[in-house]
Amino acid sequence: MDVTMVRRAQQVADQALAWLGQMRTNFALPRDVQHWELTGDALKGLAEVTLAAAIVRREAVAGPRSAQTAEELIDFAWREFDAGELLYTLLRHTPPATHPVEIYSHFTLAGLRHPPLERLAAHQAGLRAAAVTEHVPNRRLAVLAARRRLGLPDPPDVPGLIAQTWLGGTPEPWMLDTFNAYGVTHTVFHLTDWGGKPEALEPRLQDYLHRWLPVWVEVFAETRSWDLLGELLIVDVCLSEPEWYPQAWERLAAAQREDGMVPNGVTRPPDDPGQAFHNHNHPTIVAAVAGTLTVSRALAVAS
Amino acid sequence: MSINHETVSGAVDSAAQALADELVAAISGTARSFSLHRKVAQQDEPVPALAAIRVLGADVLSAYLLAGHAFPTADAELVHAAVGAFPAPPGTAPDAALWALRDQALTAALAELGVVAAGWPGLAGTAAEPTEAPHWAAWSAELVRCSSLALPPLASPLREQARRRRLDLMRGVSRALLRRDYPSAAKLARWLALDERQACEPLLAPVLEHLEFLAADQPRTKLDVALARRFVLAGAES
Repeated sequence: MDVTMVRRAQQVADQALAWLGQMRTNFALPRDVQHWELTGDALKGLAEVTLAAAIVRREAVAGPRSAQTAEELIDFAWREFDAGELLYTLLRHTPPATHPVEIYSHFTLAGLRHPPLERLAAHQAGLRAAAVTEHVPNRRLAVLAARRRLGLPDPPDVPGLIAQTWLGGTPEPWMLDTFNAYGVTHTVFHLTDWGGKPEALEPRLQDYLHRWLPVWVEVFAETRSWDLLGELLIVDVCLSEPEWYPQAWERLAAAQREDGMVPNGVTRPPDDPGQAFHNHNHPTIVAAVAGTLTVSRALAVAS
Repeated sequence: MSINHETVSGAVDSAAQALADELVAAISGTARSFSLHRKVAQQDEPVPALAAIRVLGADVLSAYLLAGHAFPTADAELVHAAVGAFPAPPGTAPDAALWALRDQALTAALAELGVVAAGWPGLAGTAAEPTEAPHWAAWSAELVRCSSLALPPLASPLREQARRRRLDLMRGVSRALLRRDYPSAAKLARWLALDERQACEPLLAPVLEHLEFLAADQPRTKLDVALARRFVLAGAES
């Protein structure tokens, strides 16, 4: 680990967070639709920026300005969700849906709670239906992570859930594609609670990632897939012994625009930040998380 | 590495692909006999065929070294002629070190077949061994360029490195496959196969199968895969 890399990660996170703070009204939920008509897309951005801000708060390594921005984003998102009431309403309206609890669990990272929602979630977690939702395998781990944040018991066969994911199968490394790469990153995020518990990722999978993550970082840096590269850098600092990837950090930092936005590397961002927001808010959120977790792990290792 | 004197664009590459196809058949046992000079004599354009011998380097001798085909004097004379017709660049050229390594492989392979090539006009002079790159990506790129040194009778510092850095080799293979760069993947798989018996790599078998399916239309890649198969087989039998 070198100091320049840590500074670069800090700089990327600070600038990304500043952009997210400036753009926060773009994350607002639509005002002209009923709650049951809220689409996944409308909820996704707000849920993700909440998670990023909650991680900034949890790690407590940001400077005063970034810490203040994170607080403001959490407050903003909590107000948008009507202090959890909207998520509770969504869960009551569609009990089999898992996204209200998944989104709510992000707020619990920041210490915000809605007791009635938690009681309903606890009831539902005990139903047979909770074990058989038709999700892709890594999404089942998102639900598992949310249950853990709420203090609910694990489902009976967690190793079985992990084994069904792409990463759990430890496949031939050259068979990774973009879709499965996002599956790998999210499997790691959920099992380690975004780097909070690196040891929660079993040694077999840590070893697999130590072997092949360098290849994937190299390939997705070369293809300028900044969103996925950022997620892979998060994966690195979710492991017990990160590699840090200073060259990849240099490239990510060079790709970041002056205003802090990180382009997705796939579509050309318009100059107007408002127009760029739709396609490029996700890589910017990823960059904020990646930088924050990298600085935090670096400080932990150094201390 | 380029070969000059090409009269028709792509003629040398076509000839190299055709020769590679012949070598695959000879190495895999599907051709009963193999002879370089007969192959060249069959060509309407002998010059590109001669250049192809220089392009493939020591690999043109693989059928004699590995598959038991007889090495007639006429074939040795043809290799001699190819070296003279397409000489290595001067020692000051940017790719002089690469030529030196490749010609070192050719000379050593000829020696295995009882031919002393020292002093042949056109052979590259000796060069310092390239510095071993610490990063796996740069190092594996170097091994791709020097793949003709990956032949069982030949010892080299690169072979020692390849025996030691198995994970780095496999990372190079994986990166090449992800980039759809099958020629590079096959050359690195060949290095992996060379000393497979001493340092087993479980992913080598699926890599070779994968390449056989996906690069079936690339003769030079098929040649590297066929050589790798031959190395593994020879290692298992010894």
